[in-house]
Amino acid sequence: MTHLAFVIAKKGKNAETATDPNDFVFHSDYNTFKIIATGTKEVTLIASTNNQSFTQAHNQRFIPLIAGFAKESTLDQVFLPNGGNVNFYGVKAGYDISGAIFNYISANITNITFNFSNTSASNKTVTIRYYVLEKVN
Amino acid sequence: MGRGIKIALDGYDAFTDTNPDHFSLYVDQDEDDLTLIKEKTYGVVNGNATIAHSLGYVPFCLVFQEISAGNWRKIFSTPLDGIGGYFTIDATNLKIYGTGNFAYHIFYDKIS
Repeated sequence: MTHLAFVIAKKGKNAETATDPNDFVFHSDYNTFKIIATGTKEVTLIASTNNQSFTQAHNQRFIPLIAGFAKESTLDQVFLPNGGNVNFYGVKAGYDISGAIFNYISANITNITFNFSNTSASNKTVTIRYYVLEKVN
Repeated sequence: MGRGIKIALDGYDAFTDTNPDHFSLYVDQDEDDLTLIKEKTYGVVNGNATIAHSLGYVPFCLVFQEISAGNWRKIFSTPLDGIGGYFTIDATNLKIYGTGNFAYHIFYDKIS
């Protein structure tokens, strides 16, 4: 059965007969999830302070879904909300965490809020890459 | 160059640019890692909920909790501190645990 849709199948899949949505890189029957806007924000985490919030206007007329990642200026890896910045992990050595903790990202009709803690004894410069996605509901 | 559709953002050359971030639409049959994720369903539930998705495999999903009126936060799997809402998803159901409103988005795209 052929499609009444505009489709691009994955390599090796038959665009005319495939029925599994996972066989397509694009299929016009399905909504593609969109990035409305993206940006970066640099913040300074005060030493030995929990629950530090930073806001950023998202300039949308709706409450958007937000995804984001953070990176300390002196370290290579990025870290996600709901977790600390792990420098390394070893079975015997355990975790080594920088002290920066990305607690959460939230959004309302106006702003994005990024919340961090910093358990280390020195201030930290963190850059956040955020993505403004579609309406939350 | 494979077969597909590429629509460049203003200021970029669709024929020569190779950075997907420079396109509003970028699909290429030879680059199927760049599959556009496909939304199956979304909605809002209040409190503990089980949402059947009928896909037969574990799909990608996003879940958000309304932590105060009009203020939404992305949530994850079981929290280490045991506080706050969370969700699990398997080949049959998305299960949400917690109180208040939760918004969910389930996609066709497999994660396992």
